[in-house]
Amino acid sequence: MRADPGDVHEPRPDTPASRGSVRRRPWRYLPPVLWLTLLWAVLWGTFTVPTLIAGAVVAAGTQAAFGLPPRGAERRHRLPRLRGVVQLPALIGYLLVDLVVSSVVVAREAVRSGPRTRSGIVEVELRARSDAQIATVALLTLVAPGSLVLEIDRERRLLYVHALPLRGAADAEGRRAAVARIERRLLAMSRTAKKEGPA
Amino acid sequence: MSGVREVVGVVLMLGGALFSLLAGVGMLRFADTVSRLHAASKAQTLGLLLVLVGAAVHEGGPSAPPLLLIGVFMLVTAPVMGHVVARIAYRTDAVARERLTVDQLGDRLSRQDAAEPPPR
Repeated sequence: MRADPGDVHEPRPDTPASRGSVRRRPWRYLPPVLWLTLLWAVLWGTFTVPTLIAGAVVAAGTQAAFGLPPRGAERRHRLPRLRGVVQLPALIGYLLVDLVVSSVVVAREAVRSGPRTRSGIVEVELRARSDAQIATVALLTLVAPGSLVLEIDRERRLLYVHALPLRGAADAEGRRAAVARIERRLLAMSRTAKKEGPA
Repeated sequence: MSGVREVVGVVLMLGGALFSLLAGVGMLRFADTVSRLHAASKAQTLGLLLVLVGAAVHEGGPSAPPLLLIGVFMLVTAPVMGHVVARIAYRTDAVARERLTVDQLGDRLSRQDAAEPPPR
């Protein structure tokens, strides 16, 4: 979830703080190593000691080579921890329903209108501030069929969403509202966003 | 009990197959690359997800967790692929602009072109 699609286009220069932090703060890398070890064991299908040791070695190696830089100054805007656990099922449920509904809509357009389907590109203003939050909103928007994020403007906090079907201004407004709903749910899960309020 | 599981699994897998078929129809019938991506990376996501969940329910036991993991990975990676392809498609004019009812990104880019050279 921490992968930032925006970084594909605008790589940020490495800050000095993000270098050599494996040595200074190794515990930061413990959760991903544990998760990767678990993943390794699940994929092998066996929870034996050799498997777990091999998994831990591979996980540690991966983190040492490709570990994400710490988010540093963004810690205040980090994604939710405990609070969010309660609201997470609601968000996942909402997204699953959205996935099914919009799949049906896209499928119906494919069969009925085909090449005559109207689509459009809508600009959506985001309230999310940190890269991690913007990336997550973009990812969640992308999961639902019928909406495709074409462009992420990180500095102005804008998403450009290609929506299908989109027939007029009312549809465009509906799309903006849909992204805003996802964003509101996500921000409600993080503590700091509430204090800051809308940008 | 195992009979119920079998029926649920089969129904889910058939539903997934149906969505994959509809995604294929969308691939063939939509007008441009970006619209086709909706079918390829999205409707198909649900199709494959249903097949995976159906298989997990049907098989049960130790083979279920890897199947569900595959589903999660797909949910996380497919949209990123879709975004990258869509972005390139738009920038290389693989979009049927006459089919767009609104194009606020085009508006923005042409405003930018008028004011300053494109940033990247």
